Amino acid sequence: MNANLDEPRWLLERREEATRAAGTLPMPDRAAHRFRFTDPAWLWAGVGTGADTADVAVEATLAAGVAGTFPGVLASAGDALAEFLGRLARPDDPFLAFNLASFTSGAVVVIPAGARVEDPVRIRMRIAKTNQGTACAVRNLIVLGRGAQARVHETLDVEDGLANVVTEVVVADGARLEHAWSEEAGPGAAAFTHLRTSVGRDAFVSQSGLLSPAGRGKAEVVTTLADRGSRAEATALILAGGESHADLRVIEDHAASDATSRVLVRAVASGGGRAVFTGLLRVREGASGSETYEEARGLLRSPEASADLLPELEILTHDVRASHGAAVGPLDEEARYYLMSRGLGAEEAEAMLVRGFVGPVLDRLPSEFAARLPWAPAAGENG
Amino acid sequence: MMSLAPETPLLAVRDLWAGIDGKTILKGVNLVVRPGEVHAIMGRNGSGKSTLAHVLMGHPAYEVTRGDVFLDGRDLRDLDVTERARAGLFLGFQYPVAIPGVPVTGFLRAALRARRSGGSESADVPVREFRRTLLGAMREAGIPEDFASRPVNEGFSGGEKKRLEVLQMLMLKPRLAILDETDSGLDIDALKAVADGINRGIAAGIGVLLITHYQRILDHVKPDVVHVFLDGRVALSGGPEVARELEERGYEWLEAPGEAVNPASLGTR
Repeated sequence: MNANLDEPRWLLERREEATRAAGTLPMPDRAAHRFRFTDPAWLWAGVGTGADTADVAVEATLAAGVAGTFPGVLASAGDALAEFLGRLARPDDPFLAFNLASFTSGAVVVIPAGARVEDPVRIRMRIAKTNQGTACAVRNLIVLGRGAQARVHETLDVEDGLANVVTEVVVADGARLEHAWSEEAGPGAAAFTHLRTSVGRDAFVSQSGLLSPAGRGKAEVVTTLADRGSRAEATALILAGGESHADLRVIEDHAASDATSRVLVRAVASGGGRAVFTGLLRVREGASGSETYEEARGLLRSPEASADLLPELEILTHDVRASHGAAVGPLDEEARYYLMSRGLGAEEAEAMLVRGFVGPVLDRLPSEFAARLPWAPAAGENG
Repeated sequence: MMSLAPETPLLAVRDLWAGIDGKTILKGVNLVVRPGEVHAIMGRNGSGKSTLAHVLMGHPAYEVTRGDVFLDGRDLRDLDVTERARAGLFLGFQYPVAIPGVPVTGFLRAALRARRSGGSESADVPVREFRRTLLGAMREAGIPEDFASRPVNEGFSGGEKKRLEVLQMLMLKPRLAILDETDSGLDIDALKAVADGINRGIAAGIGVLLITHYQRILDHVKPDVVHVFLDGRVALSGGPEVARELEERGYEWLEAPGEAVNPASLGTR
């Protein structure tokens, strides 16, 4: 592997453990929902291949705390890294293990207890090209101390090759994080991302995602509601056009009582694109008083496009309020006719309908993400 | 479109045959509406009234097999829905369609831009000016202000939807508004508000083709001509007295075989 020998002992040990796991753990089963629609082989380049380094940048205005990138950040954020890195997203499957074993780049953001960061912290990851048969591994860590508040905008652009990006997030008791992420992969490129978040007592996290690969993209958003009164909101917009394959998996894992989670997904598939969403709401034993809600809707814009949206529930306790719904359909022709009868052109009418369809999740994305979309709302258009 | 010879009808329908899914519904409709006139079309359910409305608007599911339609002397045959709207045709829907996620404001602003300019950005209406105009029109139509930011027709009551249809007509100022049962399902207050709106449109020079089941809207909106639709064609045309006659006698007398209907005999009873 490519571990730097100057790395601290704890990291070398974790890498060793991960290397063993990556070589021995079985590939995830396609019978399980996680990889039901996406062949794991598309995202796997094997163990022991030489890794490329991604271009990772952090932009932050912090009065205190840390914002930096590997390897330099090992010196400034050593304690937080030793405490959390590889501890949330453990090397318990080949993808996560490979990542921990071989990452050489990534960003680390630590917001101290009680701090309130006004401007969004931006993490930009760009992977221009990886060697044949090589996955570029990137690992990020975001820690918000007790009562801290921050926004993080995390973007991944894979122009060519294969990326494996894991981001671990700790939201300590009473903290509040608004986390926006986007994942893009060029034609022929593939990206695997895994966002693992732990939410503390009375803490809150919102995760707003945009998954819009031109090639193949698989994004996993796994959130543990780890303590009483924690809250999580995951929203996402999945766009699959051309020949692209976009697969989002969300898990809201209720491990404590009186926690709430809400998942809202919109998928638009056009051309020959395939959009996939699987969303698991899990309420563990003892997590009474939980509330969890999931809604996913898909829009098919061509006969060749497909969208598979599968909510799952795993409720192991009583005293839970859980609901979910999923629906996929084409553009409403009567609505299109109605708009055209008011003088809108066919394309304008369709754009307006699509914009309306994705509105509930688009409105949650930072404007810098939304501005890249073809039917971004004009200023003032939104009532 | 503005410099028309006075004799050019606003709408001329000649021997129009049309249907859907291979089934013929309109069987030779003839109709002439002159500029500024108000025409009512009455008829039973299934007589083809709504089909006529959608065929005139250019709904893609309907097929015209014969006949001509002219708006301001312009042949509508090859125009799609958008082009017909921009030519000055408006359809008030019997069942206004919900547009999830699209607020009334954004929708109407886009519609106004399209109507004014054929859709080009240059005719954009400044947001503030537009909002002022819209809120004024909403007050007049008796639509609560907060509707402006709600999605079009979503969660609206039947009456609210119809009010919004009339409001759209007033803002878009078409040459001819086809109002398809805009009066149905309304309580008395809503009926009054809708009728007031239609009358404001008429006063502003909009020609109206009012499709209705009931005489009661015609107590508020005075038609110049009343047509009775039967089995896909106009069976009888006359003055407002025709509507009263229908109210009293129903439609059956019009179907009596061999009975010649003489409009001149109406209104003398």
